[in-house]
Amino acid sequence: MDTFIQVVLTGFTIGSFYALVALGYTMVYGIVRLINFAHGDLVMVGAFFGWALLQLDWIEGMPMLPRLIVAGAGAVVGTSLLALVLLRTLYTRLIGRSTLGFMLVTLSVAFALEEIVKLIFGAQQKYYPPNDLSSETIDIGGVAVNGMDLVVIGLAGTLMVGMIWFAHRTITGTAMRALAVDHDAARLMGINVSFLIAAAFVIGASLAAITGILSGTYYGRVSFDMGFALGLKAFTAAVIGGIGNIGGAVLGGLTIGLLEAFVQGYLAGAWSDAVIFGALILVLYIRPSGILGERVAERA
Amino acid sequence: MNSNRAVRLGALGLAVSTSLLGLAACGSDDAGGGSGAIKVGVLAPMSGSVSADGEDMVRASKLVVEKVNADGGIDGRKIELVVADDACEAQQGTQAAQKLVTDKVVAVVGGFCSSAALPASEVFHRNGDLPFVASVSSNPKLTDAKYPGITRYIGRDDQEAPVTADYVADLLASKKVAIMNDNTEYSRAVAKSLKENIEKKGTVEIVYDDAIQPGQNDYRAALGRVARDGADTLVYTGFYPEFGILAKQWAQLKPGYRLVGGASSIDATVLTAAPDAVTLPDLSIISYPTASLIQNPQADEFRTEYKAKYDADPGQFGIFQHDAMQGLVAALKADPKKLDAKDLIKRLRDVSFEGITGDISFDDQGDRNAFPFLAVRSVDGKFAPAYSYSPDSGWAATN
Amino acid sequence: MTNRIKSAFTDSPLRDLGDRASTSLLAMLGVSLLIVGALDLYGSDYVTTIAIGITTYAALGLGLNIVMGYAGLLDMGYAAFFAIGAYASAICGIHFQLNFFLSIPIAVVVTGIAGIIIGYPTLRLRPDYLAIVTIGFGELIRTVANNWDYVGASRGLYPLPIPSIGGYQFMTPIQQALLAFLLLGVAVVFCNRLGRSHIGRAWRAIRSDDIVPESLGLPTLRLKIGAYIAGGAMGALAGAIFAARSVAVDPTNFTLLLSVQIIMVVVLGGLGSTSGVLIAAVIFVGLPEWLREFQDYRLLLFSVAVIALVEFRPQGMIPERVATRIPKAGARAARDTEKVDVGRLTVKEPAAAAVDGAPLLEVRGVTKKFSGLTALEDVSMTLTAGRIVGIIGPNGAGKTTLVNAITGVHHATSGTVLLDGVDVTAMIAHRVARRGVSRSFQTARLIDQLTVLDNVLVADYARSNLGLRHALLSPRAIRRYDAAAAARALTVLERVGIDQLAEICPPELSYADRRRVEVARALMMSPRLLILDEPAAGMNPAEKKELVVLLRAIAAEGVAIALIEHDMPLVTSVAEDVVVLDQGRVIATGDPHEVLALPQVIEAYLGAPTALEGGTRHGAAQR
Repeated sequence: MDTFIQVVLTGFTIGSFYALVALGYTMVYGIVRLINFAHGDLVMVGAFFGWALLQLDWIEGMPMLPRLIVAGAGAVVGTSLLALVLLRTLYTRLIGRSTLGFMLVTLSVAFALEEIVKLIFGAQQKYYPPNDLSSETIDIGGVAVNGMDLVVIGLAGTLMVGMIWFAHRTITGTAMRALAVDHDAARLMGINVSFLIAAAFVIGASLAAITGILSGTYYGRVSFDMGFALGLKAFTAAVIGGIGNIGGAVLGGLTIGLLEAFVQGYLAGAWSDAVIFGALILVLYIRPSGILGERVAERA
Repeated sequence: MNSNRAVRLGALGLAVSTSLLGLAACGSDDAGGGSGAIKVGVLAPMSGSVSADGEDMVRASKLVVEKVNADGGIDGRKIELVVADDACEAQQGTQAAQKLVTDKVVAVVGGFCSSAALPASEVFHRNGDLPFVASVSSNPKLTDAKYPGITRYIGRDDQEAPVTADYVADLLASKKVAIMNDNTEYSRAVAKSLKENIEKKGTVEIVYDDAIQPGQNDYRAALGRVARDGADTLVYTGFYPEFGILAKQWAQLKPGYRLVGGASSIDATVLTAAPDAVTLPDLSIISYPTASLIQNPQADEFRTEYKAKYDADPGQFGIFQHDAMQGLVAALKADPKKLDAKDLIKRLRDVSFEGITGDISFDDQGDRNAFPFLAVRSVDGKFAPAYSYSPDSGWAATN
Repeated sequence: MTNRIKSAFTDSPLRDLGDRASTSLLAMLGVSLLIVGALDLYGSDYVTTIAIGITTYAALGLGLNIVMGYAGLLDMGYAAFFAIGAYASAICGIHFQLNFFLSIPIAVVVTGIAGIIIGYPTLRLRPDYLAIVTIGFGELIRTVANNWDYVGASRGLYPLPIPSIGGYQFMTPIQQALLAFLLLGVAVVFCNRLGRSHIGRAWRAIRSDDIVPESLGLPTLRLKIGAYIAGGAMGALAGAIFAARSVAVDPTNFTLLLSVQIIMVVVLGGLGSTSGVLIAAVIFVGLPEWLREFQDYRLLLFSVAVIALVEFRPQGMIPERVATRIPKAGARAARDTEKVDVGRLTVKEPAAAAVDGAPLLEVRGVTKKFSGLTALEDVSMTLTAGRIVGIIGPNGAGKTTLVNAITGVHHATSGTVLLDGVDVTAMIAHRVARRGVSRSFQTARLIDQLTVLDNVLVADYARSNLGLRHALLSPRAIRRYDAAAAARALTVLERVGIDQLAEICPPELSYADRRRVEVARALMMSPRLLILDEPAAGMNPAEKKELVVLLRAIAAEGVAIALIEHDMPLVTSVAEDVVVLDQGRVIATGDPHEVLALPQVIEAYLGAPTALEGGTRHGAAQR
């Protein structure tokens, strides 16, 4: 077994999950300049939506792939709706008014979502039904490649390319990038800011839900507390890559994934979280704008 | 000037308080004596993530107590249970212990999480060594403090390690062993002790000793490293949620080494989490003799009664609470007139009987003299003992 | 007491001593003793233990309140300070056999150093980066504690020596409660003093944004680091007490969840409100204890409560009350005779205006580029003391950018800005402000949570030379300073005609009055150069006339004034010179009437809907 390539493959898989979540973070942050602490928990909500749908009787008879697609679609719709409701009822009135208020509310929403899911589904882990892809392992040159590895990396890659295309080639995407650069100017140019904020929330929530379903299918388990730490690391990824930058989110996600795999595979797994957050602090010391980001306004 | 008033007020407060503090030091406690019901405390996590186990402990306690009370109680006095929730946490544990002390119980039975049981034991010690019959908390520190009031019914974490070392080195005849923990206090303690015990054997080399970070989901990099380091056996000393996913990824990688789970890796959910892995002959798990695994008449009786009363199968650890409660009853019955802490703690140490969890007697530190272990595998979709360990004869295959 | 004796007393070191062991401190300690006495008399050990638990949360809440309530910084890793304090104290006890009370200052110092290491690089960045970095910091500390054998790794340190002083041991619950409540009492007093001091006022000013406070001479970075460290020190104190009374520390005590719970306590109580935090701590610890069934829903209900409060009642259960009182008539009289007793505080007066002729402000060839876009190109201008210059130009001409380049909000890409001969091109904004430059903003940016009086007082921060020492130890010096400064602020408010609005908060003010507060705030700094960005916007003709009179009077005192205005009649009536900007370049300078007649100036204005003469819109109407 070739450990190095195995570690790289693992890193890319973990990194793909981080990157998908980081994309949502970076889009919302690019527009509203606020950290949405509840974003990671949307992954958890998506995973549970998917899990609940997979338990339904009428869906159980279907073959695995259409079953997953139906559950995935349901999760995307459900999670997006939740994100929209949260945006309209709780977030909108704070955006642009109170940075601290927004962060406090999203933080509390994160915990409230976890507690609600815990009350409904219990504290125990839930298990996705096994699927053929994740149990089949192919040996490629001494590296055990799981069918789901290819699915995760492939799907995540497609979504990332799609997002980059969206940001640079569509009017909505271009408007979002313009908004990220200069809020006031974009408003003056007649860009509908509240629409773009809603769009960013929905896209972010959809990516989160897909991440949740993928994670459930890939690792087989979901739990009420799976989202927060994932969200934090994804945000770290977005900052390391350059917040507000779509390509940066992908790069940051993969960096964190590879870092995590290499610490586990070569250094000391006990320290892996510390290494990641240490890397974040280091990046902020050396290059506060992240790898691909523009300079963050430094003041004082 | 108003500062004078404040000074006087402060001085008054000081005077009042210090005199009270002096009084408090001479405060008397008259627990146990007299008539009426005998109050017994149950310290268990009734809220938080392991509240199901706490509920299980209370149920097991009630089974014993109701039987005793129906048979006329202790010298005519009934036992009354006082449940205190430690929430599996230090602060709550301290508060729960204080509550039991305030309620003047004659003894406390329980303790699931060491994080709560340790500070609670400190409170009991400071209150005249209130007898603490520890049922499920396995942290060595609990009895290593050598407080006379503590007797413990479950094995110690550092008993698990030598038994596992024997299993790995003698029974499996491993030559190169990898040890993995999950960064929790318990898991690290077992890993550390396991390393020392394996090294003592002199025939086995430790090639890997590291932790994983629970919740990270993907441990293939670490599993790959274990293979690269040339291990023939990987022992995981952490808890079951991560063991499930670890086993699953181990089966996917087919890395060519055995996987052994420690005594906290066993849970029915592992069967669901890693269905492909548990059927492999290379996977086994060390286990305490828990409710579903133990085979003796007392265990059968307990399971039947529990099912009849609560319409549910008992949890894994309630049997320790059951035995602990029976031990307390035996000590109470031995001299029902003298229930003060000083006398009771001596009798609790002298208890000797055959419980669900095996032969019960205690060393001078309050730990079990001999504690059995099992090694289990999945058989027909259920865990079943494959080997059993007894302190006298070591590991042997079960029939 | 005759006045003479009184003043002799007030000036002696004795008074200082009395000040330090002040009434509030004694009163608070009295309250602590009464609570402990009541616990001893009426409470069981169980209740006492809960009370001690409350003191832990209260102390942590008070500390985080400094960071989050006063200074508005979201610290998500506050448990790290708690952990460092607990571990430092425990290490002192176990490895060095040091007395618990001696370990407290060590714990505080160690925490302060950690605070600087984390705070300095992070607080320079966007405010929300602090949140994420502090989470990382919290996890880092916990991981280190979990893996470092010196501190017992995951086992932690156990058992710790029992705190004792002169042979008296704090061992039983009631004794521990005595220790915890006395220390909490001290903490309450110091936190209150800090919150009510000029430093507390400055912290509240930096809560919403950096630019305004910087322009008022507040060193925002230093203030933020100060708040972060002061909060950390409180956390360390709480940690040391926690360790001592649990007789053990281990890494599971210091999780992210704890940090979040402390945040909840502060928000529930009311950001910035000491009494609110105390009550919230009682509820947070006590309620689940009282209603056991509540335990499982605790986190959910508190989360929902925080959401509801932030959305509908952001000030929390008990809103902070910090308005500086208007000095009584006596002080006013003193103010009128210009004999305000400022005690030992020496007010730093900016050096007198330069001798006539030498320019006060000299802008030489300043160019400013924003990522490729040129906002200012080779702009030069001069301004002499006592003169008023109008800076005009259509929207987007670069007027505000020029002001920002002069005041240090942005730094010129090339060129130099000289103030009284000193190069201030690359100087940080608050230093420029301290050299006598004050400004108002295009959109009036006042601090909504502070009264008009306090808004103006914030601008006096740079002039006071009181420090943290005074804020903590000499409340009387702070009170005297406040009285003197408030008297002066009232004079300034009177001058702009709104002294009767001193106790009102900005959201209740009319647009014109907000402008006036801005002008008053700028004047409070006794500037040598006053830059006003559209001060007349929203004023009616009568108010504009008053403004003209005021500006002339200020200039007559030797202050140089730069006036950015769209109202041309106002500019021509008050300005001696004008500088016209268009697309970042100076297209004309000189006498207002002559310049406004120049064809290139008219050309520049044709596109802008702004009047050149008489307030009509003929320029725009022709198109």
